[in-house]
Amino acid sequence: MKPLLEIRGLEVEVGGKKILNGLDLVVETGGVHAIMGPNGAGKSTLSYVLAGKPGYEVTGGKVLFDGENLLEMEPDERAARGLFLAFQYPMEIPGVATLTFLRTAFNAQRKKRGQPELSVPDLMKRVREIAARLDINPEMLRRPLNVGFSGGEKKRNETLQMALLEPRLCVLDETDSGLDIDALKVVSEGVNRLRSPDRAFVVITHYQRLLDHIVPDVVHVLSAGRVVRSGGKELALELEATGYAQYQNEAA
Amino acid sequence: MIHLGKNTTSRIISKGIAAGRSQNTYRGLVASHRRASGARNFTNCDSLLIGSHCGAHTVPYMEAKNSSTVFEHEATTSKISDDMLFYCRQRGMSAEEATALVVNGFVKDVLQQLPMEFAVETQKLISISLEGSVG
Amino acid sequence: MNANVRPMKTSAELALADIFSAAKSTLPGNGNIAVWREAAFARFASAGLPHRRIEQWKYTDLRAMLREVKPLAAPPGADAKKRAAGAGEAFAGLDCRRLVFVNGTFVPDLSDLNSLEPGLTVRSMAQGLATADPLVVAHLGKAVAVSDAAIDMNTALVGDGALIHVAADAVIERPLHLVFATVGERPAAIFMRTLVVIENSARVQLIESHEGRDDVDYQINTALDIVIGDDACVDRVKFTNEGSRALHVASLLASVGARATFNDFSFTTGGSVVRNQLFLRLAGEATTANTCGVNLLTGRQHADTTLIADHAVGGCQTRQLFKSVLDGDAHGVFQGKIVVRPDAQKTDAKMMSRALLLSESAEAVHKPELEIFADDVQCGHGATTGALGDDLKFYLMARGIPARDAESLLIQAFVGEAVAMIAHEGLRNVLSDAAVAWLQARG
Repeated sequence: MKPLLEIRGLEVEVGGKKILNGLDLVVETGGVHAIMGPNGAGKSTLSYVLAGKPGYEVTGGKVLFDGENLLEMEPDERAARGLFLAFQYPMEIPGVATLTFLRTAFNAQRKKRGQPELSVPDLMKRVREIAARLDINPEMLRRPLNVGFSGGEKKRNETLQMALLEPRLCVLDETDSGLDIDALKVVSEGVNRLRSPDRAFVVITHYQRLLDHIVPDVVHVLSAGRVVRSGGKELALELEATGYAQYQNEAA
Repeated sequence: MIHLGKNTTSRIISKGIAAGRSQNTYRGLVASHRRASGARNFTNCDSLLIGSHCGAHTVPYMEAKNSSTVFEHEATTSKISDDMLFYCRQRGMSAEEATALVVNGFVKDVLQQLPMEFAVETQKLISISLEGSVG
Repeated sequence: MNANVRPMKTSAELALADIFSAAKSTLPGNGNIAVWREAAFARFASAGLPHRRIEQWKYTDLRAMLREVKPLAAPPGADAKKRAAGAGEAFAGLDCRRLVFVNGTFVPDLSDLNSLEPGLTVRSMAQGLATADPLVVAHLGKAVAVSDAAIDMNTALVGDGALIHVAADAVIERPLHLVFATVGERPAAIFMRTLVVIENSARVQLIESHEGRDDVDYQINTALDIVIGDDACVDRVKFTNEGSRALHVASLLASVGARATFNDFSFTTGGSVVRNQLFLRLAGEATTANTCGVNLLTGRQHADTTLIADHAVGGCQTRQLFKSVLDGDAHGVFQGKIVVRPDAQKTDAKMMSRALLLSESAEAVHKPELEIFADDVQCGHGATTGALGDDLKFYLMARGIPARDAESLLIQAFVGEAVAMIAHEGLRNVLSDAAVAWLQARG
């Protein structure tokens, strides 16, 4: 069975500076992979390159999503094919109600996939169900997207979007940053509810704590733009004890 | 906006969108007469530029002839941030769809003042006007 | 466009023509300089004095305000020089190099030209014009391309001023204080021009102070051309405390090079009619220009600050902060325009203008303009007009501070926000003290 995501020798430059240095990663459908590493290792860069953010120049290597060249696709095309990036710093969009945003995104993806759009009442029903499970006040759905939301509210919003859009590959970019323990639990539960044999997760985090709640199958250590070590979930605990220092020397 | 009577209050919200090769200008006068005590005005002019071949200009005139006048004016001009566009695109919207969404959000508080039929027509008009001006 | 109706020339315009033809042969400069003056006067003559139909002069109708033009000032005699000895004393406590101009003429005896710092050259503009100094030929009138009647008048009739050059990499520690004092017993018209050329990576601070007698209705037209090289750093503070019957029109033409910083501050309390016009051209990338000002006006004063910041290239940052306090029947005008040209991407420009009205009949006008042709920019402006906050005043009074003192405190805080932008501590103190003095004079 071909893997869902296959990254081979990926090299990426940002502003002329090389950040990813020959990164290899293979994620099977149904897998939950954690990517850990020190600051500056390239964790966020990886997530942005997968999502197609402008300003990130791929200078070598390849990325296949479901066997197709991901790097040639526009960001919205990647989304329609099932790639979702939960942003570390979700954007605020003044004047655009959360519900309006959700509806526009949802139907845009359906249209691209040749599927019929969902009617407003049907969509509202789905959104409300998901919101209830995530402890999101329905009032928030009427407010402009993320404007004035706390860190925890923004991350729960990202999780709601993920649940609604039902992606095949979820990339979570430091989802736990800025969250207190309660918000962390709610977000993790939301993510865990989406775990399925048809879906894969790449969970990017600096701290081991998140991985107590979203238990990974594989843990990779990213340092100086490359995966320098992979292992089972115990690797995360080991990293917490020893830190990243040893990998920083290895990668250099 | 000319304030003549006592304790008058006015509010001006202007949202200008320039795309393609257009030039959009707001030119407005807010004045309070010598006898217009307690005159208050808040003016907000924001301009959005779509593409790099258009221009947005703001020319407000504020003339206060009464000491208990309170006039406030704010204006900003910018484009839709790249980060905002990328966020929308990552959620599946094309560049045009993302621009239309953000532009609608930009004009939301003005459209809200219109009767619903006008608001709907205006939204349609905005998306037609934006067609072809993105990318 | 302007409604270009050309009525008959006013008596002031006719008088200026007479003054020019009588004076031009004796004004400093021959050959090309003389030609340059003629051309300037011709431009002025065809446009005439600026009036309210000219957008930039909408609120200061010079044509209506200038009923008669006074005769050109004569060079100061010994008495005049003696009367001017105490000029600029507000700044006496600061260690500055004084360059003194009495009735529009440079007076070396009253100035400090000893041990000029390496890299600093100081000359009189009269000398510069008479000798067609290369700096004058290369730069005068060229920093910013602007077509303006007041500048043309100045170019045509300029008698004297300063010609200052700061060589590349020179760091001039002692501020240069240009002291302009008008002490003539009879009203006169004075046209002064100063050119300051600062080469790459140089640093200099300039102070300009204008003062004169309250009992004479003299007229000043002064202009300052500043050419700032790449990576240079220039601070200028202009202190305008002309006599209470004086007319003062001042123009600043500044071009700022790449990565350079220009900080400008205008403080105006004196004069009957004051027009400060500032034309800034950001000529290189990554420049920073901060233009701030404070106007304290009362009686029937009219002060107009008009500013155009031209972002000709990208990546530059400009900030403008202007505060006006208007009492009596005073009129305060602020017109600030930010222009961003089509390729000036990544421009960051912000302007804020605030007016405080203290009396029933004071008037404040704001016209902050944005003319934006590039899209990847952050530009904004704000303007407010109002009176002192009643709640704030009440709070102070409830703590035992009498009404007038409460007002003074609040006004000082209002003005202080702008004065805080001045880097030089001594200068900040001088201007804060001047504000306090103005407040005390209110009674």
